[in-house]
Amino acid sequence: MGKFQELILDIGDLWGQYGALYLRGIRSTLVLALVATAIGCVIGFASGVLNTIPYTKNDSFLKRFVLKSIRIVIRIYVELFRGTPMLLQAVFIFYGLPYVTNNMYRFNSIWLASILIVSINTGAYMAESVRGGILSIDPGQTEGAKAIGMNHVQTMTSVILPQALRNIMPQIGNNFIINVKDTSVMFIIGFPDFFAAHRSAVGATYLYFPSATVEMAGYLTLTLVASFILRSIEKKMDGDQHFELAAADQLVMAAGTYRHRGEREDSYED
Amino acid sequence: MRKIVLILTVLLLISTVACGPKTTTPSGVEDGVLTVAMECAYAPYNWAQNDDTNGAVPIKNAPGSYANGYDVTIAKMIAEKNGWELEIIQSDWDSLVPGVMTGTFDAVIAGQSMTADRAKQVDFAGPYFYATMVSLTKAGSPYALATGIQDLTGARGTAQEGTIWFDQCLPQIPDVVIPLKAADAPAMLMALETGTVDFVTTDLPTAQGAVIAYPDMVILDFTGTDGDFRFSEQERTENVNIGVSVMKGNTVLKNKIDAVLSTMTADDFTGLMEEAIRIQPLG
Repeated sequence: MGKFQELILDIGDLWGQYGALYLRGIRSTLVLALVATAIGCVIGFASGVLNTIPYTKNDSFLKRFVLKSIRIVIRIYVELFRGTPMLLQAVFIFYGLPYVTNNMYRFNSIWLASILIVSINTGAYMAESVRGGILSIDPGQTEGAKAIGMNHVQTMTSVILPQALRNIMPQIGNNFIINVKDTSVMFIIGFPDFFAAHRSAVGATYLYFPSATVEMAGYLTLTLVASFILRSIEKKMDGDQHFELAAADQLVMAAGTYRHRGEREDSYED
Repeated sequence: MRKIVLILTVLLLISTVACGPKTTTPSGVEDGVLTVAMECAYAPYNWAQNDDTNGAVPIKNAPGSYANGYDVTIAKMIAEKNGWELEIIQSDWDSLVPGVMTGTFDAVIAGQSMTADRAKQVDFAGPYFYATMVSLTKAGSPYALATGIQDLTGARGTAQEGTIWFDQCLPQIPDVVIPLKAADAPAMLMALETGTVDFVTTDLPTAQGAVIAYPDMVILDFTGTDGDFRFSEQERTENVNIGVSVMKGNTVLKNKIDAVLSTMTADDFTGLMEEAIRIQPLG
């Protein structure tokens, strides 16, 4: 009877008693991470697009003023929410609202509050990722789009963002996986996530290490599945190798031809 | 210009909301529902379980989970005697005081000591339990024979951070080494179980639950001897008394809770606590 066997038995006990609690925790964690990452991406894309509207010295004062203000506001948002712990943001927003309004307003739904907090936190990170994604696209593409008469929004939605999205997919995946794990701090406002299930289970049974093992395995499973799905989405976005630009001069790399597969040479021959 | 007017209007609105006239404190039970918060992770005071056996109450923010324990028993009595419906919210220990301050819940019944610091932020009803301060150690260790805190001299010990045991009991032990702060009771017990520390200091009910879960632990209770932790009478009362916290100024709710608790004796409390320890789901 080794320690290992004992651990397995304890985990069996724990699962018998609290299995349903862990599963509900996993569901809450997943839903929160998914919804918040999605909303965070929307915030990030909006910020990224607004942040990169070009202006020149020849533009009217009003236009320059508005654009500059937008950039400042986004900058403050990013620095504030990227630069403070999410746990404190949760406390600040959830308890701060009734505090500053003298208890006149408060969040009636812990879910709503949690989604809001994790979304704006994710949005702050995504804003920077999207900005990076947009900057990574060759300026020639923007110039080309402008040359055929597209405005900024058209340029973004039809030319730049589809390519930027591909470039920042790994970053979206990163954010999702971070959210799966980091939503555990939302227990501070009573969000019943997977880690809260651990707190509950050990609070009564004191099976601390067995429960930690369950949690480790659970989180790892979640993030591994997420990684796998994200990779396959990325592959799908890359599409067929036939999409690659056939440059007139094969020695010159056209923008966008950054991926090369071994079988590429052959596929060009048919 | 219109923009400036708009901005000024918004600022004015915000300031009105922020500094509006202070209305009378609502009791929180006008709706007939008593909303009580606890960690649901601090057995035998409160814990979470998967069904409603032994009279457990559904946890509102964790559907499918049920709260039970000494605190739940007390909460049920208070709600029943006043004809209120009982609603239990599970929340982190650190959020209990801000939650009751902002009216997110009506009361906190979570094994909180009625300390002077806490009483600055919230009002306390009760006490609804008198907690003795004890230590736990491993049965075979040289400290198992200790008859007073001086016998723990130089030992490695810890307690739950942010509690009376950590802040005031541990420093009284001569040359004590504190290698870590425990985030909660299970983490504290794990530190003792794994030999990271030689002893932990906590309250009697937690210790009683712990020795059932970990049969190799023993309770060191110095109460009433010269070797006990030293406190002034006032400090001792503050820290040994466990109370129910409500929003500052919420005398309506405080009085109604006190009316129920004052009908009970220390023996009643001990009896209910023994029952809670008996039904605690241990691994």
